Amino acid sequence: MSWIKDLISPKTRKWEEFYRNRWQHDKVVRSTHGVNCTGGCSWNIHVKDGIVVWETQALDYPILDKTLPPYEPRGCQRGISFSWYLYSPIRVKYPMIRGALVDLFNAEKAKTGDALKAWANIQANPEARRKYQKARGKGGFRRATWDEAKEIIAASNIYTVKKYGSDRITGFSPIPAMSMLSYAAGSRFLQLMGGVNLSFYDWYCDLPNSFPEIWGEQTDVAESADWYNSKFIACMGANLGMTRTPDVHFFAESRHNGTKTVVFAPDFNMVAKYADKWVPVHAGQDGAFWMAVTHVILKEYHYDKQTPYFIDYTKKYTDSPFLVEVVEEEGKLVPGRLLRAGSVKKYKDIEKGEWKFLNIDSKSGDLVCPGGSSGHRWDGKDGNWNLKFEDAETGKAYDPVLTLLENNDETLQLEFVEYGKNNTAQRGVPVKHIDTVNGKVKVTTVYDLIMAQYGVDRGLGGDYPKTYDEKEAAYTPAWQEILTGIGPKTVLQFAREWARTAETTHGKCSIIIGAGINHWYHNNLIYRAGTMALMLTGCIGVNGGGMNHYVGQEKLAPSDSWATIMSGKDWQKGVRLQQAPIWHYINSNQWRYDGNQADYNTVPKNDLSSMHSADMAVKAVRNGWMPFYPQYNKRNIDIVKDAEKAGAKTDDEIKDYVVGQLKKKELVHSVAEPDEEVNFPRVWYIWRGNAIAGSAKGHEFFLKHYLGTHNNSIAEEVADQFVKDIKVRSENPEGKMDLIVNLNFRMDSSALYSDIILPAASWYEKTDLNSTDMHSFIHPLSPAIAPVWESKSDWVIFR
Amino acid sequence: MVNVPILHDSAGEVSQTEVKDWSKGECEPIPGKTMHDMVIVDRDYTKIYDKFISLGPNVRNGLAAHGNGYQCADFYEKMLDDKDHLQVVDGKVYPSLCEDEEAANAVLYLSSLTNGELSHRAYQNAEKRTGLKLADISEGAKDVRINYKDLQAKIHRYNQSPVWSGLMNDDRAYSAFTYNVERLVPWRTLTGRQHFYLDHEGYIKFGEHLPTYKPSPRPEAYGELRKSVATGRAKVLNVLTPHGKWHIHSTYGDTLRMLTLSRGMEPCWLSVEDAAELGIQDNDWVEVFNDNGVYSTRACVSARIPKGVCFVYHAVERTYSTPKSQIRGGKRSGMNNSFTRVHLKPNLMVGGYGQFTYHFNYWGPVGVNRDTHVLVQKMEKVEF
Ligand code: SF4
Repeated sequence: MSWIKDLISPKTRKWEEFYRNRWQHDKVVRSTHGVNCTGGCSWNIHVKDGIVVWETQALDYPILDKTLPPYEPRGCQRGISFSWYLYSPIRVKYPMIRGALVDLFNAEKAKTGDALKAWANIQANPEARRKYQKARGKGGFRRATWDEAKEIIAASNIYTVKKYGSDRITGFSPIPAMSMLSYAAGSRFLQLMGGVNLSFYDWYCDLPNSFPEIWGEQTDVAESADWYNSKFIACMGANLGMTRTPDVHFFAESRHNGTKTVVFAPDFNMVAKYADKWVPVHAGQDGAFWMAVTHVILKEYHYDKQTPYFIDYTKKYTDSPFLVEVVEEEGKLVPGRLLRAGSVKKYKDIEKGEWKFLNIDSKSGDLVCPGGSSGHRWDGKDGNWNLKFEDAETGKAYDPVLTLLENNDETLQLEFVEYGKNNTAQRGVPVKHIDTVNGKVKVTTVYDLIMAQYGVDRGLGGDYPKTYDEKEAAYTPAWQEILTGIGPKTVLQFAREWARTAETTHGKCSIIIGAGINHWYHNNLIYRAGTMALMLTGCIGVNGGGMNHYVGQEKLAPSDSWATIMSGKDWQKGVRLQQAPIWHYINSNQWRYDGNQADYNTVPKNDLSSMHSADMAVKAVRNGWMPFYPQYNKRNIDIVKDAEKAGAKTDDEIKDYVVGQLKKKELVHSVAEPDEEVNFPRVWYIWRGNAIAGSAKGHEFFLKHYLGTHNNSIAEEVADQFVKDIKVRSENPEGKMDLIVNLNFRMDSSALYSDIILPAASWYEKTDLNSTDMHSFIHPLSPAIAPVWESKSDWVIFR
Repeated sequence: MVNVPILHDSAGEVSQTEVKDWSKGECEPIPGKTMHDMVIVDRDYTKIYDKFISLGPNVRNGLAAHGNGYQCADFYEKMLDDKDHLQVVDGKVYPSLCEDEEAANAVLYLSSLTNGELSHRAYQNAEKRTGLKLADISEGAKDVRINYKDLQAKIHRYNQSPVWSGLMNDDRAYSAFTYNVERLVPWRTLTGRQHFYLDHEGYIKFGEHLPTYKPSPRPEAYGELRKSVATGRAKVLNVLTPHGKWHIHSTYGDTLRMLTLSRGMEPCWLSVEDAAELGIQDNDWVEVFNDNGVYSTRACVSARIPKGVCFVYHAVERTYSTPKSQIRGGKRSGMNNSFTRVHLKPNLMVGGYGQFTYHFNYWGPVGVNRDTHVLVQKMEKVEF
């Protein structure tokens, strides 16, 4: 039996050491992944001998409310592999500069003995410029020192500020919440210098426009633990198993708690398999399904039976009792603007009367002016910005009339359009006559308009569907089937279960929604369609309810203090924060390939709706609706100097001078002449993101017009047939950008196309903060090890 | 001179009742009212570094987000007591932001989310504005201060604050707008209520004042297939670019593990029917293209995909598995954004009106991409 001895002899079992050593470590440090996954999971990073050896999930998440399952363990199967990057072959180890550029720069510097002159000479020489621009994306990087890289960057900054102005220097970095200091580093640098930050949430198409439309809110959603509180979850355009991996357990667990789950997706995706029901709606047609759901809810739970919880909620928390003018347009009656409080005698002298609105009190039948409107927020008086049923001007309590059905002066036939088939319908709407300072007007309530729009027949005459089976009538269950491919029975069952659940639980139905919906052209309408069903059943502002949109890690929890640090507002006022989609549309010349939106967007015909999007952008910038940098076809400092020469002394006089110049068209907004050389963006910083590829809608146009390198676009220019305001130059400029600087820890596509790559610290090598909307914790990123090779944190690099 | 658009959560929300264009003489240009505003800034380019590393004095005037402000001058002063973390600029002393950790602690110390006293002040200010009782919400959290080392040591839940709309007392799960519903604080909209109806002139003219349905843009009109025509066996498909499965989130798909677990690239997912019609077998090389550009990859033929639609997971890197394109003359092919082009929805540009007022990442048209159509055809020759 000697072999038994062998086995227990420590000497012969030395090989086991290998396994023991494999799990040895010197220290454990908490960090996370700055990756816009919205996970924001806390991780323990294990370090041995100064090397990151592996990561494990942090297990110390506090328990919320005892009725909820715990958050931990959080983490996904991909995140756990992150440590690979630290020592990977694609790690950016040293500063690198494009060879073609560094040769030009060194030659000019040898000639002139001055970095700034060297840069100026390169830029003044079209051939030299073409040479390194053409090399973009084709390899040929050379290792450089930090000082060499910084010298070129500094020279290009100073050159650009002196020649064109600092608003030609731009930076892009996405989603600050994932590593907010790293974001703040670059933006603080840019803003203190007068440079421009490009937005990201809208550019990534993660911003749900319906949120500002409905709530005046960028995005605000439930943390994932609250899914468990829901009793009915509709999941659409979001593949939770795949993209919300650390949170999907709440979805699965909610079912053990009796929650009904329905998944809408064209494919049988990972979350569909968790669900009670999979509805294979045609791609992008979810809005039609929800229009029909709301049709049923309105008919059965608002009209046939007036569900008290729904009616009370709708009265109190939505604009439904507000009065809307009925106006005549080309011989047809249509809904117009909200009736302004300032337009009736009773309120004609109140402050900001154009921004206060009217309801009718059910008891007295009088007009009342509810507090809480934007007028009450900004009229300089405190204490009236609330949702109390109180007339903010008189202090009297009231109860709003939701519908004029019982008490009206007449029924009018208004025109409603269904854009799917371009059907118009005349539908009866109850109307009251109101005396205003401009004479008699006819009004109805928002609620009555909604009832008519959705086609709920309340005996008012006109083209209302009589049954759910009318295919031509908006928005019946039969109508939606044509678009979604889903039978009316499914709609009916869904709508009834939804409404009954909301009624019984007082609002515990929710929608989980994501990029699968938000990336469509009409995303705002699809979202609104779903949100209507939520609001009409009192499911917003309730635990277990909500329009829960998770697309991008947008929730930067400590945004109050952070916003000041990132924008340099602790030192200065006036920051340049740019709406990126407009910036790229105009500057990367994609507008020149765009036909008229009116030809592919379904719109009524009128002056505004027939404008080309580029002209609309010009109008938006002039009117102050949207920002645009570069600002003018002249350096800003020179404009101010000219104003001072013309006698302007105060800030207001300078502004007056500028307004005068604009009126005379002596000064032109850059957005209106984007192809003039003076208006090109010149220097672009990219950090924490993949701006030239991963997020570059119109990547090939970036290559052509920003970078001036090879591309595969064969697109035709067509905008000149449509645009009126924006100037179309006969030649279509290529290679607008002088320098692209990329901070990166890996050689990705954006690094490949940049001129200078700076080695950035990874998520296990720097101090930072991370928050998300999936949970309500705030996490650190920590340097488990010092940044490897020559890399540095973003904060240190921009510093 | 810095141009500033009319901003959300400012009095600019009540500036333009109608759409009028001063440049067309429809109204007078008045900065901040009928046109953007301008701010005159003194900028000393030699002081940028000094300012970067020190927290400037304007913090004394208070901080705000989403229209909810609070005073914090006393906390700024307290930062100046911390002798180890100061900077001196022109003889004046400031809190230091030089090191990453100093910046992290400045964020945490001055935010209502991680400093309970500041949250309390923000609720008190909200009380004044609204005439409602609100400060009881933060009463119990006044002493909370969370710093960077605390976060490293253990996981912390942040405070509730009026900056965010969910109520979190008693370990309650965060759900949006519970603050509005339970406390009667208005939404930051035109009427202060949730809006069914959007009465902006632009919304009425674009037909989106009432909730409605609009069909997706037709590919013929969208204009991405004007010159790309099907030659031989090619087919027009709607291309969707969902999140990838074998990536750390969307972007980081180039690790050895992710590449090994998947096909080593992002394939074009095709339905069984479409693939059969195109003579494409699973794992064949295909070109996915339109006028904008081309992406060459392998086909993944799957029963999961419905007819008429194809998938390419974003975000493809050009650093591996990128052959030359046959249909574009042998140039290196691109990635999933090669076939996209920006289309802006105009009514999302309106401003100066209630909730339709600009704020960074809050309002404006978005970079849509799902309405894109491409041609897909088999690649006869694969060259790298
Ligand atoms: S979900 Fe969690 S584990 Fe996965 S990448 Fe994101 S933070 Fe890391």
